[in-house]
Amino acid sequence: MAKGYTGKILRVDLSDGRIWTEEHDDAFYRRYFGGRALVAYYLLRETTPGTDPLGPDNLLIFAPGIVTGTSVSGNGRNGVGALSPLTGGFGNAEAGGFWGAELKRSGYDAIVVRGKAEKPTYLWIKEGEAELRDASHLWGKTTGETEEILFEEHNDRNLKTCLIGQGGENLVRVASVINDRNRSAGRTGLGAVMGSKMLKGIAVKARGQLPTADPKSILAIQKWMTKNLDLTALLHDTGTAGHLRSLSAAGGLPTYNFQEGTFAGDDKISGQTMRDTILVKRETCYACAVRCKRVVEVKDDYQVDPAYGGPEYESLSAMGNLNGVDDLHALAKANEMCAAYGMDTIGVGAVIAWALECAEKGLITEEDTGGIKLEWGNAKLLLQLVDMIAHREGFGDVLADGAVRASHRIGRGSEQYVLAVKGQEYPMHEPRIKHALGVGYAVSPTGADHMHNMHDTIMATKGWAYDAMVESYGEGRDWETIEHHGLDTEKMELWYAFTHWRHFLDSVGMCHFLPYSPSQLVQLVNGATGWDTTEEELLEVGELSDTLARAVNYREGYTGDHDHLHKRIHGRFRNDASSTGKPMDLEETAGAIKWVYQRSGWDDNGVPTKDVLDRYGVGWVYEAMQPTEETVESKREMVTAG
Amino acid sequence: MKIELRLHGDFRKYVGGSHDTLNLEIPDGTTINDVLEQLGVEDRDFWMSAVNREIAKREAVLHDGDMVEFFGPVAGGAAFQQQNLSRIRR
Repeated sequence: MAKGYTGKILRVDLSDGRIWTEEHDDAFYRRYFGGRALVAYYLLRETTPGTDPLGPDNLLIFAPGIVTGTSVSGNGRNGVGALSPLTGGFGNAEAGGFWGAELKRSGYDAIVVRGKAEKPTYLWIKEGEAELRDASHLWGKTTGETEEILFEEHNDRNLKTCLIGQGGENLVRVASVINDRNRSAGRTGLGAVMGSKMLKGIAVKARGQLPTADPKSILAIQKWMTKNLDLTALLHDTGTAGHLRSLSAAGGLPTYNFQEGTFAGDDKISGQTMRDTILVKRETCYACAVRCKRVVEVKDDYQVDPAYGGPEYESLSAMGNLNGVDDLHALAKANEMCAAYGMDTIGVGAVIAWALECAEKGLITEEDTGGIKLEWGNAKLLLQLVDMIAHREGFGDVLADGAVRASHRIGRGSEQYVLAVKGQEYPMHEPRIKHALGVGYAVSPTGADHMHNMHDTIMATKGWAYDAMVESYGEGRDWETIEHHGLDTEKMELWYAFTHWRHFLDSVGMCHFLPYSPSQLVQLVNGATGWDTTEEELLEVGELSDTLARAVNYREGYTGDHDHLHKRIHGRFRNDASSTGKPMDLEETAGAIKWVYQRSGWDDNGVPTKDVLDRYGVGWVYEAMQPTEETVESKREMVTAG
Repeated sequence: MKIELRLHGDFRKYVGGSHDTLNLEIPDGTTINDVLEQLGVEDRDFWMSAVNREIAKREAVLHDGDMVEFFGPVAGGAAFQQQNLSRIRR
């Protein structure tokens, strides 16, 4: 009997209203696990080259993982995937909270949605029984308003929701999918896919627990975590934004669209200041003892509702220092709006920063913006633009398609100020203080990404992270030369192991913030399923998911030509004030990218080879990943100017 | 003379509790290194320091009223929290 995974995937066709269950055997789960790998599997199996991401034939996949719902700290993750309307390639994002566990406890490992409903619809899954319901009365409402109505209609405040707001409804290409009102599967524009299907949301109410093979073994890890919460104390205390000032001091806090690396207003918007002023509570995810989530309230200059949680590092940074804004209350409001409207705080912040730099350079004028003056550091302007993007109003309609498309629409050389890879804007980590992370931006299957990536600075000293990395991955290797600049082979080997471990975590439903060792993950996976996996096998799941995702991109026309960084990253900061930042050497970077291809079993253009696919037992992908002339042509304009 | 010491990173084992700001009374001529030594901070936990928001070397002499910051290694928004595995094997 299946344990940890349920063996059932819920299938929904919104065009004809059909709902059915698909079952896979144990071998399928042992190969694809869940999350990222499962998303890539379905996209390769059931979509064809050039499928319109906003059309009915795109799939929208909700995929937690094997450990989701097993009641251990960090198990509360859910993945969402589709062909991305932002990148035109592999789209995938994760979020925490409670919804993923509720879905697993309902008896499903994933939901795969295709088609398009004629009118707004939501999916209701009660104790495993699924039905489609009219959502006309929910359309046009925020995630919070929608959730309240659903709680009332079903007379149950404990059901779990996964929704879009106006952002997704308006097909904003940086729209996200929001679960539990304030958890965002943010990147790659998945909210727009959901909106294009007229799917307002999925509400779930489960009953009972998820059976596991060895509950005692899982409980032992949960007990270990609750005894070792000092390992995550900083995260609990200040949240991820506790590092904002540190990055600024190091000269690696993206400021004024990556023109500078230190922000004068850093202390005003840091995790410490948030904790000391507007933080009212710390929340958590399903069964997690860490409790790292922020809950903030503002009642004076802005009204910020604590039901929408509070800002993480990326949100404060992308909408704050990236745009020169140092008003914490305004940023808390912007974060609330992105949760309410369902938009990626990184994408929103980044596209606005692009526009502000273009205005600074005289490439966008008030004629383009309908009279709105674009300037750095203007908090009210930021909030106005967030609102306009969500509603595609005026200049917001230009920004709503993301920075690459916006720059094509404006022209005039504005393309040169877009910092993105494969159409996805850079997140808030400056590659010039984290060179291996920069390589990770270039090769990531979802465009520039900081999560399935390594942060060089964590090994800035030979401290605890260094020790842990050496113990986990360092057998027989000499890690003496780890610096946060440079791309020597030892560091790239570390990057490879670390990054693919994170790809694995995204395929198994485990949060990246938990201090579990690889052997503890083996214990969790085996405890859930009864399998006899090893660390090597789990790392290979990570490698497989990356390769499958790359295969999707290859089919859709992406090649090695698209794996590069903006010339800004190969140059100096504007004011030369970055205290530790160093430009990435162009040739060294290109060499490291080629090294990644070779190490991954891909050819010189970053294309998965038949050999590596066969080695992973997914030989069928070779035919399925072949591009067409049209898909290759479609990605020519995605080679960004920088 | 007095300095304000702000801690960014995991220094709580050296200063106790959850304080990240300390007011210290120190003799004239004290360097950053002296403060680190006095607190017993190990190299492995210390990445860099700043004085009045400028990156400063460990040998830097401090002055009355300085705002001093110590930084531990960071990963920004995606912290890899994996700790020394020898703790897990106990």
